[in-house]
Amino acid sequence: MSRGFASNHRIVVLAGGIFLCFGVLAARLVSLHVLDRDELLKYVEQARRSFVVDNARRGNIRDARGEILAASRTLIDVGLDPHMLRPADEARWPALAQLLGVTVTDLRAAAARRTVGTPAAEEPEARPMQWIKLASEVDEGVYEKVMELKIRGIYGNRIYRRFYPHKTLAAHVIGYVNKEGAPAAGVEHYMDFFLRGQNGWRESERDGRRQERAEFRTREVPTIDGCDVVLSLDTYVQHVIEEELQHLKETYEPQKATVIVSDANTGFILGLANLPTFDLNEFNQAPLDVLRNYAVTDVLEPGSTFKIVAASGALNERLVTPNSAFDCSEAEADYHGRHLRLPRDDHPSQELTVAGIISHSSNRGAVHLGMLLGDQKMYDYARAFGFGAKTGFPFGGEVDGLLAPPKHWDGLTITRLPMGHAIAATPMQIHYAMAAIANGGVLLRPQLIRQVREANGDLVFDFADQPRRRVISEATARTMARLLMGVTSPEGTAPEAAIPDYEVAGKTGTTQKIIDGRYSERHHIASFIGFFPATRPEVVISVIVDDADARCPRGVAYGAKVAAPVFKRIAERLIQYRDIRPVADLPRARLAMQTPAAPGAGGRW
Amino acid sequence: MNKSAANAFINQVLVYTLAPLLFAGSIGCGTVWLRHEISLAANRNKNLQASLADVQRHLDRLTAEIAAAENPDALIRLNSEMRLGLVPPRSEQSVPVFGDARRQLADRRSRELLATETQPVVFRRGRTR
Repeated sequence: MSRGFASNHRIVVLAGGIFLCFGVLAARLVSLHVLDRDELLKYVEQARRSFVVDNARRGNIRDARGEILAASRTLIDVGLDPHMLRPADEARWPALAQLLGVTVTDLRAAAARRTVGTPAAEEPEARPMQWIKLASEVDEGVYEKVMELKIRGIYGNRIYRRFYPHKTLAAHVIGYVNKEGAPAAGVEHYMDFFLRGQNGWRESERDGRRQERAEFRTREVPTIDGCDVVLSLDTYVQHVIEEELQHLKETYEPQKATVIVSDANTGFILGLANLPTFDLNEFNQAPLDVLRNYAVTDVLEPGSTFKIVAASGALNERLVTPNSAFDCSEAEADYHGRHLRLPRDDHPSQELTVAGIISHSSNRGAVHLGMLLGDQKMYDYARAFGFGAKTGFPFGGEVDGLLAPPKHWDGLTITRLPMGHAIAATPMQIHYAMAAIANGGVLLRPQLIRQVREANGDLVFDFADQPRRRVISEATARTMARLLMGVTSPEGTAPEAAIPDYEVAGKTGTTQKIIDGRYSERHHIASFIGFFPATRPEVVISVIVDDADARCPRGVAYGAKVAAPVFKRIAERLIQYRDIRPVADLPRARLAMQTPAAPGAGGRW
Repeated sequence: MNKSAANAFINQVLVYTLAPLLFAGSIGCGTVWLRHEISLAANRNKNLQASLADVQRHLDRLTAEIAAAENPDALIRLNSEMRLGLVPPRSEQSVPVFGDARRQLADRRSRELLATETQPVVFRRGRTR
């Protein structure tokens, strides 16, 4: 080393330079770590911090046999990032366009859009376009094929969508989840707390490529998937009644129709369908009016089906016996010192027993029974049977119906109420009033939710039948069931509902609709509410058809002609499906087991 | 200080300097390796979770497709398209059986056996010589 280089002056300059460098470095460090610390930390937090929400899987809705009625599935919105596209991939664009159902021209137009809109005054440069949607709600299978094309800049965002595999089946019961993911109606809305589950989340950091660094996860809350809700509804029963409603539509073109099928002993609903209906997967295309569950939102005058109330009340109070006779030929009657005009009777007779009043559906006979009960008792029995109050059907916007207390009655109400006028009830109320007779006199709460199960199958809740109150004694219920069997006898009003070898109990109803404040002669509501086997009831079926007159003979839709055959067809199919046996040990049944089948006699199903 | 003593001192200084350095270095390397392994394990875990989510998604898709395929309307359409001619059983084709069906079938079978296969027993007197 030469001495000249190592002179004091140069050493001082060199040392000074080094110190200066260190000084600058120190100053920068102070600036970064002390002065700008908060701002920089905020930036780092924003840039590196990652908060990811894991969506919980919404639970399935299943029928009584475990078949899926509503499920969740992922769909993908596919789009492109115009800044990442490579010219080398353009050869695969036609294949991509074909998969996504768009044209290559659309693809080129999307790829050419590099910025969002035009630069605003306060925004000197237009914002770069990060992602342009090419196709919405693409299936996972299609997305896989899109990814196999390996086109850079094409990717999708997954979204959860509710899927209803049976489309229109039980649409008014299941309800739907709207496009925002909010449950809007039916079971989806009512059981949302159990179905929706609980979203999980995690905090971690991400690297410069915006990929999560899993090792820096700090807090993590696991996702809890939604529970499965098991309904009492049976897909087959529901299909049968919807098929019958479709048949009704094709035959009579009614304005509306409702069919309810329930278990006679527990009150659980096995099927509930309305006409018109809608496809749950395309709920947004259905008119708002069609989305209503008419079975609980719409009221009608029950008509003759309400006669069970007056008859049950009079029998239960021991005011009459099935053989008590009434003169139904008189058009007027005295009641508490007043001379009242009785309603017109479609089946005028000199004298009818209580059994005859029911089987012939005599208006005047029902009024006599009502007058025998008196205003207050008549009202009390109507309330006890569930009229004028919600049945407790948990969703669908159930209404109370209309049943005025006696203090608000006019002089004629006692001559109208026993035959089902001066009252408005929902199909559900009418159905469960009949179900009370089928169930030995106990009014049941309509129930649809059978169980709630966790995603792994563990039972969370099991719902049992819920009796509301005893309406009539068991003996009266048995008597009523026997009297109602007369309706389907050859002498009754609805032999059309009779099923060979089975005891069918039921009641027809043909109600004039009120149009512009007056009872119309050309618009009727036809109904048949019944159960079977009458002495050991298993199912209760209600068929209510609104305004099917146009295609009926003589322009009147009678309950016996329109609703009773539907009841019969549904009942016959339920007999086989639910293995409902006739009460009597029929010779045909015994013979089947005793006589060897002839060779090759096996029927083809 | 003589030359050998100075060397020994320098050696000691070197040893005492290098040993902690090596120790700290090895701990540092170990830590780096450990963190690398943690990172790999965490990434593997993340990938497994992603795979599970993928499988769950596919399961959901398949479940939905199966449910759609089992829709009664779809089955009726298939029946018609494939000309299978399947129809629901008519009420005349089914007969309710009362009591224990198995026992009744067994009784019937026994009756048939007794009626057709059992030969009457004939006793013959043997001849003596």
